[in-house]
Amino acid sequence: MLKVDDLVLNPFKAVILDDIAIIADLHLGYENVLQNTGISIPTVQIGEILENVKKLIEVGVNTLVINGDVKHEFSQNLPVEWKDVKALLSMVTERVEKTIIVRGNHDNFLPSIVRKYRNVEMVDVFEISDYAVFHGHIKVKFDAEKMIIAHEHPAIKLRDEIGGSYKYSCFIRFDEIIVIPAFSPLMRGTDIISNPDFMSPLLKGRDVELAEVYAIEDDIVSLGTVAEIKRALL
Amino acid sequence: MAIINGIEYSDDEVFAILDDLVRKWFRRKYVSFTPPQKYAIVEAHRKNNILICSPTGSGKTLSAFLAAINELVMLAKRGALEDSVYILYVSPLKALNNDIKRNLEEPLAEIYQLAAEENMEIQPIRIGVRTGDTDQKERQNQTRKPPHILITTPESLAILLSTPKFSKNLENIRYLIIDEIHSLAENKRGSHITLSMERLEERQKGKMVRIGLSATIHPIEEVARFLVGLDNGDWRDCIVVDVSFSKSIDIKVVSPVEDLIYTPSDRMSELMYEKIIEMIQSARTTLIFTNTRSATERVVYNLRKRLGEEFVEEIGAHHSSLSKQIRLDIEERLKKGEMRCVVCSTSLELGIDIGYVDQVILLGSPKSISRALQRVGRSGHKLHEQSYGRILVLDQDDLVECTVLTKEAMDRNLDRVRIPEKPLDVLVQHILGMALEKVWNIDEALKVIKRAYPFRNLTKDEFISVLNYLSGSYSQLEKKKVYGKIWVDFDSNEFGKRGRMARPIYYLNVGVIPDEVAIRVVTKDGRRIGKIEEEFAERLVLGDIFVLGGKTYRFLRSRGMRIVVEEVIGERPTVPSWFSEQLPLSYDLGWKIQEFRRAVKERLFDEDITEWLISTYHLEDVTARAIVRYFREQSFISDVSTDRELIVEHFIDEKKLHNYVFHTVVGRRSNNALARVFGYRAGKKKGANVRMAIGDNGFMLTISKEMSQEELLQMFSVDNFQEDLIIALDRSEILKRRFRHVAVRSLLVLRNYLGREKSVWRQQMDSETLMRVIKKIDPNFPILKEVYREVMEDAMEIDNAIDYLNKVKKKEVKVTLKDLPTPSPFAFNLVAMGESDIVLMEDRKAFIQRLHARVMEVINNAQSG
Repeated sequence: MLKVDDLVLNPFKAVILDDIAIIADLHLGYENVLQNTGISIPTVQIGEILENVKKLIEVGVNTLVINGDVKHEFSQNLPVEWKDVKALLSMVTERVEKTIIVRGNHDNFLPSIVRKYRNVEMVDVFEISDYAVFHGHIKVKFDAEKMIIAHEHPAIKLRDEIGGSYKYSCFIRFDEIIVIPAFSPLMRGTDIISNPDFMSPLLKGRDVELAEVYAIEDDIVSLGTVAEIKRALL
Repeated sequence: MAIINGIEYSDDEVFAILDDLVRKWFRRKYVSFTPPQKYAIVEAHRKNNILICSPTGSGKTLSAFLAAINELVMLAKRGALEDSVYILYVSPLKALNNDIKRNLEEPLAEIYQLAAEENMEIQPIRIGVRTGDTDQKERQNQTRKPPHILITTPESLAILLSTPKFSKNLENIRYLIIDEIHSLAENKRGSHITLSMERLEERQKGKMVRIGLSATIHPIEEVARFLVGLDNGDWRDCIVVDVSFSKSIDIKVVSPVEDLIYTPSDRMSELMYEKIIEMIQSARTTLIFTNTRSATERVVYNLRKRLGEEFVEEIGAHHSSLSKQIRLDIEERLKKGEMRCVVCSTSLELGIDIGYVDQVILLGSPKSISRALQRVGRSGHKLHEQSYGRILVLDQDDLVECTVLTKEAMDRNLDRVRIPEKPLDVLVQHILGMALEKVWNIDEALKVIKRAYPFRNLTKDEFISVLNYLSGSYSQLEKKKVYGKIWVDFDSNEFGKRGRMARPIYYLNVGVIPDEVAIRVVTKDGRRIGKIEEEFAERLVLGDIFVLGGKTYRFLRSRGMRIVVEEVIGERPTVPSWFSEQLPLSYDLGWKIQEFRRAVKERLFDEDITEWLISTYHLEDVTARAIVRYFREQSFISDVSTDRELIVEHFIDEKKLHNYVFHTVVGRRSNNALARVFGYRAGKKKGANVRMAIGDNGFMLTISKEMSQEELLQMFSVDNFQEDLIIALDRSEILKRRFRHVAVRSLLVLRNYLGREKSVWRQQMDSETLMRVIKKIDPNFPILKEVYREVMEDAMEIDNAIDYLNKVKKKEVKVTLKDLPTPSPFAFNLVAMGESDIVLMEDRKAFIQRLHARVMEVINNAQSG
């Protein structure tokens, strides 16, 4: 764990503020989408996701905020894919007091599903303390000065002097904006150093060299800015 | 019976079995039968399986077809020809198919002509070609009126077997002819066709005779077994005919310069082209083999430039990246004798009749004795003409290698063929194909499959695991059936097809050749540089420097299906560049080279060494002296590694890293296995990452810490070699690469789904993640097992690596360590451009913490000014 301002970055890919944990980009049902592109693997990530969320909640979480893309894409003809979402919500609602789902670009939710669970709310933006928590694919209205977004699936890929390469999921920070990595185990993330064009309108035009990187491997390791990493490596 | 050698029949004995009309036709056209015809025709007529090894221009086509055509003519005369396929001919090359069709239409037309002269009524014999290129109309015709002689490719055959409307025409095949079997046996395309052969066999109502046509190959009995397979555990019978020796051969090594190291490369280039032009002008038609497409283009360009306008049309390039039009044109002109010189990579190695070639030049080593003979054998169109070949060498290692190779080739000591062993991804395709035919009993299906040579040792457990995979049951624990293409019922012991998509998936994805997706490379200002393979692009990391089109570039960033780079001058490439898989030196030839080295070493300082080399190895003065010089230089700095003594050299480079060079001349495949295991063991011992450079003549390990003599010797242990190799492969690039290919072949990832032939790797999923997911589901997943098998047995040669280590263990090979200030001459090629990969020993956490410390340093330095 690592404290950044008044936030705690947790190696379960969560940002924690008091007893509120914020995760994002679970992409449940991704395997189904893969099948439609011709990759046949069974639903594998729900198991790992449930386990990790449980462990996260155990550190003392009373409110779980899922900052968008709970699911990947659902075909209307296969209601069986909702199984994973229901499994997640069932487990979570038993363990926390409140669950907040912030709408992401992949969340074509039928309100009926959410309504079935007690204490689950769907919003476009969630404000807490001086932070606005939203997915980041579009701009939303809020008052807070600082932001916690997702959507980018940040990661960094590095090579050592011998030539071996390593890829790590990471949190990144630009002054007042913190970007959360993807919770989904099927998505390691996109290397920001070789893909510096961000998708979010909040980050467009930002110079990736200034991004502060917090890599995740068992623990959170602060690596400084991309510029500093480049100097340290080259 | 089983595999026996054929006997030569007399002309009269062959004529005796022919129908009158056919006999008359043959007598009008030819004087007598050629050797392969004398061996084969009677046997085929007697319904014996036969494997024919014979060179170009020896009348191979008729030796395979005449008995069959004879039978068709007899039926045609009686009006008894039915709408069914009687002769099925399969070759791996579409071009060859068209050739064969022409070669059959001509004699048949002549036979009809003869029949007309005698007022004989004779049914027309239909010939048809069926490949991926066959248009809809023709396909429909073929279904309605099946050709009596069907010419096709392995992939099309696999599809036809599962096509209900057509497959009923395949139940009365009298003769199955497989051409270029030597090029099929050693890869998965061959494994694929053996299963097609058994599926075909299973349908036959009568006897189907198998005829195999091959170029020179060893051991021929093994290839015969490959052709015929087994029945109830015993090898089927096969007659073996080898007349490849009947053509005399003249091969020699030629060097354009005496000094292969210090002659500047542009001068060397000049002299090389001078030499080539000299040779072209002394012959009628020359065929030049390079080893890559880019080299082919370069050579043609340079030849045209030097020879001038009049020759532009007479010099051409031929390789698989060129359009069909261009290739056909070249082939036509070659056949008519209109070309002076054709340059190809490997595309003209196989069978198409290429007319008047009377000289073959190999640029650089062909890497195996068989390949050398096959390529040189393309010259000398008629049987009595000699095959004439010259190998042009461009560096010292090439010179030594080709010297030994030439001698072995002239002595006809071939290297052994390696046949892949029960590849499960190929099996997946055929199980699906079989399920599309009908519902199968599991044990019956297994019986059929085990008749095929590569699958003779398939266990029931392995078969069941593949059935489970295809039906979507990923593990015993997880009873969920996901996305199955077949259903399996263990109670009734059956399996069959499932879902509407099973058939289109099979049709569109059958085949074993991996598709390479190209990623465009551009500069910051959008200038296009070229293309690289997607797999290579996926591995690139900020700061990587690589070579493209002869220039070096630094990787800056990715943009969708493109990458952005900037040119850097004078910097050495930093990225492991193994991705272009070159032809490997064969293990057998490697040992011969080691023996040669010892022979030279023993005489190295004798006065008559040059004469000895010239007379024993048919060398020219220039080449003999170049070898002596090379060996003497090596002796001054280090020592010469031989079949009795392995030299291991240690030097420290400018980055203060420790380099260990192992001069194991066993071919890059075996060295790949050795290097990885040694690299893993070294890394584990020292707790550091290890870089490997791998070549045909040895391998080099680079590590940040020094190893003691004892530690080095410990690495040679035979115990746990396979286990260590599996661990070493775990995070390697080659595993990820082969995983993609196997995943596509086993239909885990569909190359062509719902009409989209788009790459899935970049957009959706990377191979590392997919492998990780699958390992978690079931570490014994058949796809995973096949990836490891393919990598360890086919891409590397684990058995040969272990063989070498056993020789060291038994002290047949002594190991000597040397500390040097610089790399030795024999090590230059490895140091400069060997194939590389990494063995990751440092764990991810340790690396990231190390980086953190370095960044802190950078920040502190910046702050303190």
